Amino acid sequence: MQEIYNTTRKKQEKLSIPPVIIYVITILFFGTMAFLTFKARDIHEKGLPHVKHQKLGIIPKDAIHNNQVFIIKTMVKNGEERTFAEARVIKTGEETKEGYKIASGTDMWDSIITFSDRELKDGAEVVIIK
Amino acid sequence: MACKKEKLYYKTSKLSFIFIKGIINVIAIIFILPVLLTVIKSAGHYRELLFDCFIFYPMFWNSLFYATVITIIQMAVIIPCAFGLSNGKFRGRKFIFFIYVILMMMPFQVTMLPNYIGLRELGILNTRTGIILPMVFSPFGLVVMHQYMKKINTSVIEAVRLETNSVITVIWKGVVPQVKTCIMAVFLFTFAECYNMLEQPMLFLKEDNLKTLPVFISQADKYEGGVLFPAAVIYMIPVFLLYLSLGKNLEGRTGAGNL
Repeated sequence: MQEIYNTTRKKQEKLSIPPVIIYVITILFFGTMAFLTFKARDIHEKGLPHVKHQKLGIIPKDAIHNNQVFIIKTMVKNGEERTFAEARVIKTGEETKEGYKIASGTDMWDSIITFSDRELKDGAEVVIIK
Repeated sequence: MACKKEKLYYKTSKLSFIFIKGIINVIAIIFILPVLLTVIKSAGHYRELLFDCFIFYPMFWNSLFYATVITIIQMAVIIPCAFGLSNGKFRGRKFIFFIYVILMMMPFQVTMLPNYIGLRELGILNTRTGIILPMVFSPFGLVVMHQYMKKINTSVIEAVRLETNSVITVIWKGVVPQVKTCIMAVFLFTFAECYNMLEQPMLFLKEDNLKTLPVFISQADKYEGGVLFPAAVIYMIPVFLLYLSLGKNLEGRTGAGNL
């Protein structure tokens, strides 16, 4: 019995992880978490469309595609407020040099996206450029 | 004949040892199965958690902060208290220890309301101090350390007392080296207990930025995507690493066996 115990004990000691590896894994883990704590949001926002918006007025022609514009919608996602793009079908009104006035399809408090650095989809999360 | 009997005994012992080992391995697999399933199901969802659920990070660091601070302060409090209760000679020593044992056995739900009222009167509800302060005086560690300290060598303490009158020096040089294994074991269990606390942050804290990871996991259905499983895996890692670092101290003959 003692021999079996000794053999098992020796096997256990061979299988045990050296302390250096544990320290390295610990430093890597907490270093990664610390890095992500500060940088995860930036990494996430880099992949999102960056947009500019304005309240009702003259909307640039580039902002209107197939009688559709995108408005800014603020919603709570994962415990915090975020901005999303919502597609709205509109009727354009008077045309000017700068763009169009919107006759119907949006409310007076809506912020309309006038510029986006990439293609927008309905319901996509966006980042507002100041 | 005696040699044959020995061989038979050895063979039977080996077989029974293998059989027992097999049963223990099966039980270990049953216990580890939920953890394995969690790790497997978390695959593919880390992006949703780490890059789309930013409330996770303050809760993760809060869990570590509370557990570390509470454990360190608790060690500083319970070692002298346990030494005083085990080796001191004053009236009411046994009665005080009896009260501690009763407090240790009380579930949190019994002391929850008095705790809440006390914190509200002190004006530290919804603060980090409101979580740390009650846990620092938790009786579990003191009761365990008290039982262990009854067996220490008092001649070492007397030898230190010959050199100095300072109680702190006596404890630091005479008591702590003798109870190192117990300190490591209590440290580990206290850290795990504080890291896993759920009721206190849920009841005593209102702001999400102050809450802990168990609260996040318990409310994982509030968050979009499959964030529960990756959060559970990341939640397990710090305590697992701590156990790997300090766990060997629990295997000593004067370690966790005495808990």
